[in-house]
Amino acid sequence: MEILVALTIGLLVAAGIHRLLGAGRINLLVGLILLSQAANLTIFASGGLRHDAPALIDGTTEPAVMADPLPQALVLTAIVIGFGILAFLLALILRSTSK
Amino acid sequence: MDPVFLALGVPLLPALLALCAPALVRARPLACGVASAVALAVASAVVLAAVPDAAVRHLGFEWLPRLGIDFALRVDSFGAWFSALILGLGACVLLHACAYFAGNPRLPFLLAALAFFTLAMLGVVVSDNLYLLFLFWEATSLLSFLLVGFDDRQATTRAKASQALMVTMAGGAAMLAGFILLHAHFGSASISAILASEVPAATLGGGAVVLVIIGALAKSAQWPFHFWLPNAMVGPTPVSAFLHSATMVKAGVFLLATLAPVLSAHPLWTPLLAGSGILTVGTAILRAAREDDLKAILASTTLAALGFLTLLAGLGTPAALLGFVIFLTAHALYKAPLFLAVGNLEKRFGTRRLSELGGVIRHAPVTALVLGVSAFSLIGLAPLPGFLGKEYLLKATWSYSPMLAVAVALAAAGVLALGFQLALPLFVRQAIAPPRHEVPPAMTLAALLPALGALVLMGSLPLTRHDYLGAAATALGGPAGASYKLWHGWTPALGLGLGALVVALVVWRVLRSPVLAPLPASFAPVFEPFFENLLDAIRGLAAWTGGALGGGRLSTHLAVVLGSVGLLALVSLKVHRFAFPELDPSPGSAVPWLLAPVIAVAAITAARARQPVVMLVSLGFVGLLVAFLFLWFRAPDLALTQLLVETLLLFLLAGVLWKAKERTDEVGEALPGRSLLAALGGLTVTLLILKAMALEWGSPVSDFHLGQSKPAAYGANVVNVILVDFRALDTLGEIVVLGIAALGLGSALGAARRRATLPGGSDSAWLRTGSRWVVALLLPLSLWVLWRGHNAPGGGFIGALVAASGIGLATLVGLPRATAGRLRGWSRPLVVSGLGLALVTALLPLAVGRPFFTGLWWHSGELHLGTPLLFDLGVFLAVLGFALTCLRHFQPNPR
Repeated sequence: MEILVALTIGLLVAAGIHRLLGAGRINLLVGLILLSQAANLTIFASGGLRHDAPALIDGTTEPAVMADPLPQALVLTAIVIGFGILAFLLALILRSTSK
Repeated sequence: MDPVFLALGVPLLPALLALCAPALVRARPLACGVASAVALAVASAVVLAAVPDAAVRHLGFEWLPRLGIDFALRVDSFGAWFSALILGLGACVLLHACAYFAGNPRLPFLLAALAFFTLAMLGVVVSDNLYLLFLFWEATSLLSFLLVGFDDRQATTRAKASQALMVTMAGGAAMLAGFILLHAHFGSASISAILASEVPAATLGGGAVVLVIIGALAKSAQWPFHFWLPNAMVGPTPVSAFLHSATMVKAGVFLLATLAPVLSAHPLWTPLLAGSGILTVGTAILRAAREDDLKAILASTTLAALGFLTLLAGLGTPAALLGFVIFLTAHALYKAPLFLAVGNLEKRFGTRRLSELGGVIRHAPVTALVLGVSAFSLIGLAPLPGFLGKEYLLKATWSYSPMLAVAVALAAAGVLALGFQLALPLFVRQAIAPPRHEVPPAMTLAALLPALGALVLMGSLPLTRHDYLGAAATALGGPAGASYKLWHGWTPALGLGLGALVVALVVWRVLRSPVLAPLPASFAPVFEPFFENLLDAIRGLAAWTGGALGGGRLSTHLAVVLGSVGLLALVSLKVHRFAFPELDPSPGSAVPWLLAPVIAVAAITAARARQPVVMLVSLGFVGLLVAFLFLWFRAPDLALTQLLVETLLLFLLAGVLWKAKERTDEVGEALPGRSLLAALGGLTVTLLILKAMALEWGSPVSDFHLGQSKPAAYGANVVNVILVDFRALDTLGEIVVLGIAALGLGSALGAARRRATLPGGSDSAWLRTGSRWVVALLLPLSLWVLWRGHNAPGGGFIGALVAASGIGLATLVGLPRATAGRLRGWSRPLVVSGLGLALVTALLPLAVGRPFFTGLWWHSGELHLGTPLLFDLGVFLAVLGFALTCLRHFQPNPR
């Protein structure tokens, strides 16, 4: 399972770099989107992958079997920040194309 | 709180006035100037009352105790005296500036910058921690850059302001290094602790002393850094008056005098400072000798006065520090009115050239009085403060070394000659340049007040029981029970002073003769070209490096960056002896095995796609499937966030990709062999992740979060509790980043009045009608998601994204309530109120004596309400505001 996720992330990184090194702004944009997906997955996977229970305290589930909440919190904000950065990049691209 | 500290905060009032009500400042500049001046003058009086009090006032809190950085303020008699000077002269300068720039639309900016500058300078004077002092010190450098460069349309002004900034900031960097060494040597960063330290200064490394001295000399424009100050004359007159009299350049000598009681024991201290001081005086006289511009002569006399102050701080004896306080006061009280008077003369006669000024007494009598009092004080005529300054300067140097005293007297003679030059316009009866404009009374008054202050100071000598100057000097390290008087009897100092006056008369005659023409304008006048060449060389090096690493082609640059990071990663992996990590061999569930190949296909498609539609769809697929992965690995909040962000991103991307399709002239070219690099990068990351996952992580932090979420933070959804409570500071930082991105979006797209064009609104009646209902449902839903977030998947981020996707749909189908204008009206207030609410909830616990960001809770049965929920509401508002900013700028054009 870990190998599978690692390979998936690797493939996303490869696809991202491929686009990033291409010509022009759109390649930059698409490459960055793919890389940020890979980065988010990497942080997420670093907490260990669990399929047992989400980090919701219900009084019956043992915390030991819950998914690690800290990487989740980090990735949650990373997704939103990534969105912010991409929106800014889009604005720059628009600005530089519409002259 | 001690009223003295409140008074020190008073400059905040004009700053807030200028920032919050710029229209008022523009409409009623004079009233605002008077109000600001009165506020500062009252503050000055409050601080002044604390001078005779021998008690030392402290205020502060621990900031970063492990680094020795504390927010510690300390006001002793000298600090109070200097602060009163800064506030008092600041009042005159603010008044003058408001009258001088009445009608200038940028007056609010100037007023705010001046007020903050005053505050920063006060901070330098009352800081009791080296690092805090450094922060205020750098603030004065930055703000003086804004002030000197106020007239920013002139290229020379920008260049000179940048030069001043570069020199003082470079000095500041050296000083910080020196401070760290001082901290290490004395074992404390507290200035009062260093001054009371038993550790001998003589064993301190020479580097520390030299670094601190470089910082102070650069700030105080001492040789060899003197060149920036005359160049900074491009700033407006009130700014120059302030920079030269009580602030900015005085910071350097202030620091030297503060540290002198301890550091003057070091063998390098006195020779370096005395040498630099004397050379500065000489350079100043040479510079001004043949100068016709009154303002330039004033700048040179400032250099000279600072040279004497540097010399006194360099001697560091109690007598020298007494002289320092008196000379500093006298200089501040004549230099500010001189600058303001010259500004008024320029306004009255349209010139500030010596050769063109005359008839001053008849056409500008008050200004003539100011000029006379101040110039004669500079010359050192009794009973003006300048006389005392000169007297105590010579007294201190005589007691140190009579030879030095003679040298100083000769140097002083040169400066006195410049004083005669300044007074010259008084003695020309006839107007040469005809008087032009009336000078506003406020400007005349602003120049008159400090000159009167000097007279009052001297007049109060025999009257007051409190010896302000003496108390200040004692606190600085002068003789115990220091006092000063006009008449000391026939002393060597008096003789030297009279001698200097006679020599000055001769020098003055010589100055005007062409004999001096071949003299250079400075001792070793190579420093300014050297500095400029150094800057050019640095710029050249940067350009060369940039060219060598890609030559302006983005893809090459990126390849260099990515390649370096990849190499670092491979080195850290120890790739030459990479052992494949042992992982759980069981295949696990089938779902990830189904998801992964689809992600792979989507990623490869996205990597190769050329059509915008294909790009959009494949990117969307990747995002969607990643969301499924999150869901599978039990991260419902992540999955929700990812889905919503993908939706909004699709919305924004569509317009840009479509637009890009129309343009074929894309810049740059693809990097050859990028597929190979991409494959290598992917492989490296895969290996890194495998390696990371094979490690056995202890997770004490997460255990704490899981264990404390319910009992301490009353929330069942641990992810949300981490976001709004355990690690709320991170979240605050993140929404601030979003706020900045919103600002950036606005300035990149809004100012240019460009708007992205999306592929039009939809005409489908079904979609239009249906979306009304969907939007009407989504908005209440978003609030519900926000509310439930503490105990179930949801929260501020997700709620805001739900609302934003609803509004996005409304803009897409062109609902009338979601026009660009309406979004614009909402987006900024939402961001501001969200950030404000988040900050308030962070600060609220401080009011009840709890640490920053402590959650405050109110319980009623099963209901728990607390500040973290308010914080989540702040997050909601800020994220929604940001999303609306995006939607507004990427809104489809109406058909």
